Amino acid sequence: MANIFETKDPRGFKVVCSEEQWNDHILANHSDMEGLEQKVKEAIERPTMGIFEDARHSDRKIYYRKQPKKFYIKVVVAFEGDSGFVITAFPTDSGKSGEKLI
Amino acid sequence: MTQLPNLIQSNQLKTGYLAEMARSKQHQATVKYDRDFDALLVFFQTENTQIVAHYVDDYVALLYIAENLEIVGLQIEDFTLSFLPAHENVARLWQLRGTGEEVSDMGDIIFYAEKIPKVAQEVVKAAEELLGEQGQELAAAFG
Repeated sequence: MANIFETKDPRGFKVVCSEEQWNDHILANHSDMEGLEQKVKEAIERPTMGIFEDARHSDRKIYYRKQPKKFYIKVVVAFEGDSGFVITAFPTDSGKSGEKLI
Repeated sequence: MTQLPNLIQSNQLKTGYLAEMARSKQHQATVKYDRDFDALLVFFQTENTQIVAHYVDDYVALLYIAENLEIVGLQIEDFTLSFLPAHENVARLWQLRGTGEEVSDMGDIIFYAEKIPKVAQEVVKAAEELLGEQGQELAAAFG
């Protein structure tokens, strides 16, 4: 399976976004994310505040990166050990109260 | 607890577009389910616009157009995990989805035909109380 990108987060953990995930899941549900693959990669590499832990799914980490317009690109990554894969990505204007900065 | 700064407040979001949808009844709602993220999206399709999620709690987010802050729908996360168990009407519709010819995959699902309005209506109705005045506009638009 081809990857849209492979990168590392600030902890040095590998994160992958597959072509299938990008096309069949992310774009299928958020068509406005088309062309924003680089923004998603940057959010993982240099999140605005750090890495958040999902409130309900302990294997997931959340990355936010502030965009020039008034929103963040939010990226949800599921990890198995120190390797992760992108589940979804979309614009949002806030975090969620249950998320904790790690 | 360190939190990400909120960039937009709920009272900044507008409902003019929804009011127009309620009046015209000419636009059909889109319902999408992201199986990997367990999120249901209910919204009016817009062309070439950036859609932003604005969380009203940890599970429900309003979807709005970034350029003009007009609400176009909502996103419900932990949909099967949390929302369905708490909302019987929606859960019943969700169980029926597999009997329709439009559903061929248990993963990402796009509802067609007569199922879309009903699912959109029930989801919005269920979330209306949480959303306040904006929920009423949503319900009118999807109703």
